[in-house]
Amino acid sequence: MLFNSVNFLIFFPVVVLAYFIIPKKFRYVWLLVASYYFYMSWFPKWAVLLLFSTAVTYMSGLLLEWIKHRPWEERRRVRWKKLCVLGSFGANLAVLALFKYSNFLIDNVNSLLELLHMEALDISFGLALPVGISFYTFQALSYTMDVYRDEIYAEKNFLKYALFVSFFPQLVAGPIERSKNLLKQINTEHSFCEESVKEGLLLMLWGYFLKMVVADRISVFVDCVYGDYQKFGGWFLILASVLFAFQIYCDFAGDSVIAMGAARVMGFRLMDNFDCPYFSRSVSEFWRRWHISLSSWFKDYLYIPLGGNRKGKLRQYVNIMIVFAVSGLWHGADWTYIIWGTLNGAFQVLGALTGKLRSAAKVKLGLNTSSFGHKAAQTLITFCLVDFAWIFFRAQTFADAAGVIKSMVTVRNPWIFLDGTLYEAGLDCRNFWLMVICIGILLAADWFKYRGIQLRKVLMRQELWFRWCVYIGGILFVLMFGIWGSAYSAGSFIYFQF
Amino acid sequence: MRLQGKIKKALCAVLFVALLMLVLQRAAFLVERKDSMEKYQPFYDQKEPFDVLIIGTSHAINGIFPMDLWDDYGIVSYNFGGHDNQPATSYWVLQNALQYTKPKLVVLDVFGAASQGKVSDDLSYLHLSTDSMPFSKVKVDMLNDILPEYGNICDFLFDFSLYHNRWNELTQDDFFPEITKEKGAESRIRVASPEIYPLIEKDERFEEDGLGKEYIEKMIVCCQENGIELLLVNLPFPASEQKQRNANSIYPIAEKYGVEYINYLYQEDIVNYRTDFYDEDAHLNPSGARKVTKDLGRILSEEYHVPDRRQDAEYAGWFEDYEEYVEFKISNLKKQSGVKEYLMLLNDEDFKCFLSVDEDPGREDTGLMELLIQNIPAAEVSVEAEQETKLRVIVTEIETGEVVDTAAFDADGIRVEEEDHG
Repeated sequence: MLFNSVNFLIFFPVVVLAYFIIPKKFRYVWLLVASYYFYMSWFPKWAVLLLFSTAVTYMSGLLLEWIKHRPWEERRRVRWKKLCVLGSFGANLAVLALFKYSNFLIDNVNSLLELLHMEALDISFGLALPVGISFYTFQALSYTMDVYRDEIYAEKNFLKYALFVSFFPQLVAGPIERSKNLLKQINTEHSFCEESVKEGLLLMLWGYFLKMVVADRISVFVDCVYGDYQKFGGWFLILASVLFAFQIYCDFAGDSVIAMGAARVMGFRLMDNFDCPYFSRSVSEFWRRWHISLSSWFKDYLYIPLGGNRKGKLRQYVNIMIVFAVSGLWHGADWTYIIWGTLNGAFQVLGALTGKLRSAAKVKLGLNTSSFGHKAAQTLITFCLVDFAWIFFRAQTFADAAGVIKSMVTVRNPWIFLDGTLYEAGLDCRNFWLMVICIGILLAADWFKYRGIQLRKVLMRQELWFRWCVYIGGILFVLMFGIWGSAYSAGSFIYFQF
Repeated sequence: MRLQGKIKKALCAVLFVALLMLVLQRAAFLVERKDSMEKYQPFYDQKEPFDVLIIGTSHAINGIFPMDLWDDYGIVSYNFGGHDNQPATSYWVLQNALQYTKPKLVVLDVFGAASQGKVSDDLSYLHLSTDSMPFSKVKVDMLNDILPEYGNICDFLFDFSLYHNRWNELTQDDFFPEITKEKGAESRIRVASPEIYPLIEKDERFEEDGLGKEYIEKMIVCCQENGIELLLVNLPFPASEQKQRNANSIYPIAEKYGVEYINYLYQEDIVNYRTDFYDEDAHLNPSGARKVTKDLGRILSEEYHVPDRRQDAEYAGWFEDYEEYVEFKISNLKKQSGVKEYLMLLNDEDFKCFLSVDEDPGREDTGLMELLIQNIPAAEVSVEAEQETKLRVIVTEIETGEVVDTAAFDADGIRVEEEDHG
């Protein structure tokens, strides 16, 4: 059940309505039922995996809590706690590896065997990737770690804990919530709050705009160009790669914002997952603003346990590279994702290595680092670096990515912007410029957010008539210009035969 | 006070939803394709009952003109034919129409008797029939019956899901739709020379049962249950042997239910296959349609006693509609650039023509030209030597005596601008 499906538009109001009718102390049960229904709408059997992850991490929490209160000596207690964490991580990551990475592993082993002229393994698990498995597995594991670190108490109520892992707004596409935030809210009773409902619906509307109007419109162009990159060379690919940066942002952020909005309607506050990432002035800043819930997860549960920046510069750089390679792998089981992650890590390491040099150069050249031009240049360079890495994320294979980059550099066709051929890549002239306007709206909104102005709050302070115009206009805009429903083709409606 | 506040909030919410619905409804109307509305809106707008409904395929749309039935016989009818409508679709179109009027008679075009599907392969044709159909149980039942195997019901019940993408192709017509002046019929203007097949015996038939026959029988039963007379027709078209067999397969069905079946394939004196067809495949042009409509109107009037409503004050509006229809026909004349199409359209009892023909026509198809000129019911022809153009035509409207159009055509049959000779 996708957020932009008719099913969700029926499901969500029904869930919310019942949620506020049901007595407060039973509401979490209703949300749990709704969440499992939501998840099972994809493929009912996948709920077993969700339940498994929930049960393992729930048990690990109880066990950690039990160990904490044993009258054991500290070393023994720590050893058993670590064993418990290891068990929880091992079981969860094994399931994740089986479903997400087994084919990737087999393919790579077979490639290696082929290189060594050995017989390939005839193994195929043929397992489909369960929706959201990477998200809920990480969310559940964060609970184990938080209990281990004594940051929270273990949750005794299994149903409440199960809701924490499966809370439907953020179950399949994040944000990856922390127990400190969400589990606490599950244990809090929520009353109907008009302001929350309004704020939530407004967030959802913005999310739908990002997803349906911007991301899905850009994807028409990007898919067309990347799908036949040998035909669409040069500037087509440069433009498609720039647009892909916005597509992936709007797609990811759209889902996250809808999730935040849906949760807000019911009184929950989820963490903000994207904070104006393309206004970042360095790649490391970008990663503090991009997919924040995942970045902070890796920081808290991988980077810091690896030693973070506490064990010298070299170790810090190695840790960064490890974290970003793993982050790439989390995004997808393919070398292109690993390269994408590694590139992002490398940019940061290079940034750190050249930091002093760059500062010295700026002083020598007499650059005004607080000027708008300097900041804009930093933002632009950061965008170019991040966007370059996105090429590997978008391309199907490494060879495709290399082909795309080669074509970008070697093919000269700037006339596509002037002779109309630009509009032959899936989007006609009007759709193309609508897309450009929408990206403009997105950047404007992000600019306000970057400056600390929350447009949502500004809007909610306006007169009723103005707010209603914006609400109704917004809904109309999304429905009219969103990519949804059956594909309409004017050509198929020409009555040329009778 | 608190209760009052809650009531106020609830009212606000209701008002907001109502406003939103209104805006969305207007937006949905704007982006909707207007073809269906333009064809059917006059039917839904008319309060007075219709005496005759014409149901069937594109043969019916292009072949039976309700406004001519009105002008010649005072018959109040509406053409519900749909392009490539399979009998199953026609059955539901009929069911829908019967919700709004109870006609004395239904004329059912039976082309499609051999159909094995419920809906055209091209779903855009179905949109023409359904887009303007108001939401009703019949519409839901229709879509549930004919669509599941072929398409997405949602696109037909809530067509905004399909048409919202049309925002980038809206034209003036979407803001100000041009409603049909033809009461559901459609003039398709062209003169084709179709291949004519030899006629087979009436007892050579397509014997297989199928969805086509099943739904034709359902329509017969439906009419009989509702006390509506039914006339089955197969309009003239250049029918291959197989299509003749299909048409002949209706004879036993008509006999079974005791209804009349007019198979125009065997009435060779009604249309002229050289002048009266729009395309090589099957469809009548306005000249052919007027001939068929004339004959059909006579049958409806004389044999079925369909009332003449021309004296009925309730239907006075139809005279105005007819005037608009004449304007529409004149505008069609003015738009023509080809001599064949122009002369074909002059087979119309509303017009009188003065034709000045060069004694040397300078073209090869003089036979066809002669036929087209002979086709004109009120024509005065003069042959002149060495004209500037090969053919000049002055068209007057008989009712008013006003000149409504003048045209001149060169040797290639192309309309040319002529200097005003006063």
